Amino acid sequence: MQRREFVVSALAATTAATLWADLNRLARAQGKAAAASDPLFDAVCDLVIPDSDTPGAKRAGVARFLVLALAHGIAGSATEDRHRLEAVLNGASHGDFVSLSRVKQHDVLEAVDAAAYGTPDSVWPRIKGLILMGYYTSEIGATQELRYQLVPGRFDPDVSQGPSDRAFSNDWTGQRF
Amino acid sequence: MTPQFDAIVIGSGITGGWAAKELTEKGLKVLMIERGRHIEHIKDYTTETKAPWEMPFRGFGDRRDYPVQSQGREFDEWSQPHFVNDRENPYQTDPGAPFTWIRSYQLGGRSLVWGRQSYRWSDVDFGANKLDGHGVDWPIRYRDVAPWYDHVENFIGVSGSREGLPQLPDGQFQPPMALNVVERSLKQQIEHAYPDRKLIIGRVANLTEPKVGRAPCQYRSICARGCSYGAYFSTQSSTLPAARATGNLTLLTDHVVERIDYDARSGRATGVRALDTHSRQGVSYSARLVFLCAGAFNSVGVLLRSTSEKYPSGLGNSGDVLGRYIMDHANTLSAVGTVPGFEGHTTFGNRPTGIVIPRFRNVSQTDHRFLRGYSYQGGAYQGEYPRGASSPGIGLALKQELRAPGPWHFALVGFAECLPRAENRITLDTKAKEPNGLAQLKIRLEFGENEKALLADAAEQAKAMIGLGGGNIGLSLGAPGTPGTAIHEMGGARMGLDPATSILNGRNQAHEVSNLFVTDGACMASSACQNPSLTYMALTVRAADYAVTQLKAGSI
Repeated sequence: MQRREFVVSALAATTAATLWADLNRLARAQGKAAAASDPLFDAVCDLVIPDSDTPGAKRAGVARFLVLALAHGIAGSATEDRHRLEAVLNGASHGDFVSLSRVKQHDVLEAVDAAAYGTPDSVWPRIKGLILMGYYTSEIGATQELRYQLVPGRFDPDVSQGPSDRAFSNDWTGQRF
Repeated sequence: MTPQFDAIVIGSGITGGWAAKELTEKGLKVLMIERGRHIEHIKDYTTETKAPWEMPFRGFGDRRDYPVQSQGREFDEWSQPHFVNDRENPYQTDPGAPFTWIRSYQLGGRSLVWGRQSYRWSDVDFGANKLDGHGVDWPIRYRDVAPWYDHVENFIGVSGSREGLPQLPDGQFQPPMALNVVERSLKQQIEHAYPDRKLIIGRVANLTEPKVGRAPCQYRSICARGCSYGAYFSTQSSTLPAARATGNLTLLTDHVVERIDYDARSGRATGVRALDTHSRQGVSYSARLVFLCAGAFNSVGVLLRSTSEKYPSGLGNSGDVLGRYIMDHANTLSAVGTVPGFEGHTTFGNRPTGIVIPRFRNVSQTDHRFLRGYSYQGGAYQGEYPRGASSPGIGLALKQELRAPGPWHFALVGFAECLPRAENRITLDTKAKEPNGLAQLKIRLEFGENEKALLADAAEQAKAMIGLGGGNIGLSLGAPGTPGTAIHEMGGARMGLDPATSILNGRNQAHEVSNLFVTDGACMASSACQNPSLTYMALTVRAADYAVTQLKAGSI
């Protein structure tokens, strides 16, 4: 069984807890140090939030969050979303999206992204949203790309925002008002 | 036989905690019964300081067992342990008439997760039923409650600004939290354009100055996880320590009250029968006084279950009032729009309150399009990283754009007064049972034309006011959201002057059962348009004072 197929069947058949155990068993069986990843999810994570002066979504492990999110229906997602995403990207690629060069993957995804917002029931905005959620709630995204301060200790109602000042990731995990 | 306790308090939430505090401090031996589990202050706030990456689902949670609770704005993966599991706590509604019933079955109840907005009612509210004939006249007026508002505010700590508004009386406030830079600007523009309107900071039960055993707010705005600083009012942070300090409190968790026992010969409540929620074993407790504080709809449920030969349709229900005239504020996102001109400005810290625009309809002038009024809550905020998913863009440019706070927006959520109507009611379902064997509640609450007219006007006015900032309106809704989503459910055992048309008198005392007091939202005869919890607290301490006086005098 190919790993991708394994992941899909596992998503359909197991809970997240057993899924993670299965994925980790598979990774160990394949002699990998880290838990299994998904090439399709890794690719789109890297394209949406790439490495810059901070690690991007692929290095932050967001693909694994996507697997978890879809298995648990987070933000209205469903396990079928991965099939739908793959079909959209392969269709736009006229072939296997994952096999394309990174440059070509970028062009395909950029076109899919641009079209998705005018397409009712498109799966892509939901996946993209999950990538952002996964990245900015990861330790890398929350503390390196943005700033994280659980206990601000005060409220300053008007602070100058410089061009290089980063947002606080904990602003989102707190209640807005 | 001598009763086991002087008083039994049913429920440990906002009003139950207050009843326990007041009654124990007045020397009564009190049993407080809570249906949910024990949660100890600080020790049991297990998710409070966890970072998103330390949570199993990054803070979003697996919500499949929480389809109702997750509609509440305080719900997330951190606070999920403070809400009921919907699958395990079913209730009934009519097809096509949903009701969102947000509940917290635990020590402290919803005091752990409440929105903390704390507003006095005025005689605009207490006089409303008499003025237009909808509902029965309140047997009390503002002067009856004012000193008890003082008492409550001084103890719990409410931060807010003094405004001198007749429709929203000032209280015993700690220093207010600050309006942010955009809110200050819109305040000036709105108040200049509309002299009858005010934009003020929300009055909130978060401390800006310390109290004994409690530290000021740290501006995390993660209150619903539980606050180890004790910076917001909850049973755990405030009333329970006070009640425990008396040595007069007995606390019983994991027991749901099945019924209040009634002795027809004496015409008094004699105690309660409760079920151990784990073993399902029944147990009875006796007392001289019963305070019912189980949360509005569950308190009504207890009364409906407390049938007897004299009261076959529920305790104290000689007429056909019990369960009827339930209400919730009709609410919706009246408008949200952008506010340009504040690029380069941001804020630091997370303020646990927003702004309020108090009611301005039917206050100084009569508006013939609808009865009563609405108020707004909301505020100015900057978009955060989720905004990246709402429009095209990928790659380094997207990452760079999301690195900074987003554009400023201003949102106004309208809360409209809900008229009391007999057809909006709670009944006991004749077939469906809770897992503990008790009959499920059936909740029927639909908004009428007046609520719809109020929110339609609220949308138009919100668009006009936000538009003063020069931005674009992104979304404006004029129809009410699902009933229950304001989480201000109330009524069902209303106060009134006439035992034929009300359950309780002006002291929250059952007309026909002198040692039974119902002091949570069930007692409400109208809904006003401001958050009701502070009024529940004031009515509870007022009732407790009266009850103890009468008890000691041998009158009840």
